[in-house]
Amino acid sequence: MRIMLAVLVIACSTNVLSQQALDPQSNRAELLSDLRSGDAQVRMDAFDKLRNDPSALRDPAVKASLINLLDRENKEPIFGEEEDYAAYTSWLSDTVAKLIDWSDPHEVCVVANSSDLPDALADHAKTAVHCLLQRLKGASATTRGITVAMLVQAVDKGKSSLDADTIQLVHQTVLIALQDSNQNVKVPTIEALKQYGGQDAIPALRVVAEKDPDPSEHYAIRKSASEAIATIQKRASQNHTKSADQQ
Amino acid sequence: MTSSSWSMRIWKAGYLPVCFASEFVPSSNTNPDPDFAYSTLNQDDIEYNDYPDWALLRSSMLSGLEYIVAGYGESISVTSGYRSPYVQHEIDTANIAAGKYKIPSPHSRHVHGDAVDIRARDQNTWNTFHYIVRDLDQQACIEPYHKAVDHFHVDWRPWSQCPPTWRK
Repeated sequence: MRIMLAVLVIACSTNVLSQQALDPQSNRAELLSDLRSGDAQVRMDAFDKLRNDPSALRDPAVKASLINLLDRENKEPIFGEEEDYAAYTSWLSDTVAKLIDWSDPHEVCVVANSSDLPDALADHAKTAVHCLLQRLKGASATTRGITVAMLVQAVDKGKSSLDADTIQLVHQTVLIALQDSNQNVKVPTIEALKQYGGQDAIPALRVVAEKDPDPSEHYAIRKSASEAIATIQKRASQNHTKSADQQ
Repeated sequence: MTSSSWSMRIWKAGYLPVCFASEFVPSSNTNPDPDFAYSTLNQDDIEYNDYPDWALLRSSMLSGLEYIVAGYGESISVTSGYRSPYVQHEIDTANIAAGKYKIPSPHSRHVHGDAVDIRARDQNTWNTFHYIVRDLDQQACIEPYHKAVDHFHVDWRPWSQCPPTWRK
């Protein structure tokens, strides 16, 4: 028994010592190579190790590799039951958003294509809006819905940094989304307008509230559009009162 | 194949054993939840016949589920509750072989007994569940719609383990 215990202790210590003896640089190089693996599990494991290492995240090579990794994962199809993979891509986009240069259009577009970070994109609307508009081209209904919702939020937050033509283009995009026959486009658009929309969206929302043909969940789309109108009007009147008080 | 070799395969695949024995519920408890039968909450293990008489049903999940039922006001369809590590492994293996999944999910919260999948026939239904859970006092982790379009996945994992964009 004692011999067995001694062997176990020696085996464990040897393992720990051999791990400590690994050169951090070569270890990192190996992880960077793993991030390019064709095997999603290998990429995921390498990312997990890097994500929890603050010194690695400061390394420009790691930063570049993680941006490339997110770019790659954005192009992978995702199935609903793949819970670990779905969680991994969320952690990845969150990590990359903290590393990128928000003035670099390529890096911002990689984050914009991940669908996970509407708040961060709205904070950098000037660059993000163009990425989001680009993303709409040829996108599925679900992606169009999320993207239009992010556009509504980005324009609300970044109005002052956007030119009139861009704002007009987004406005047109939103109007088209409200008329889309697919509820995966309409529902997130209405939700976004409810939270961030301006009074200029009310006429289009009114048409949806009165005439939308989708009966699901007891005409939930009509109800949701009515609620959006009421919320926008309330917000506008509060803003009006606030600015009158300030004067 | 013997049970020990199965255990070894599952261990190697990363499906670690779950150690929350106090919340294991036997099938003799016919009413673990007022609205859902034991056979619904343990449907996957029953289908795969893997210790079908025991399920890990955490109280956070059961109370969250009750809140959703009360808020929805109509019957809802639970498509998955608890899955044993073995059943999770089997489901993942079959889906990887069919080319539907890229990787397995050994860390799925279904294995921990704090996750539930509810059928959502469309985004309106999904949103309705989302609003209900959003108003819940308890923190909850929700897989975004675009990552799971045919069902509403919600779980009550430790908060630090919930991806930032899944936090309601």
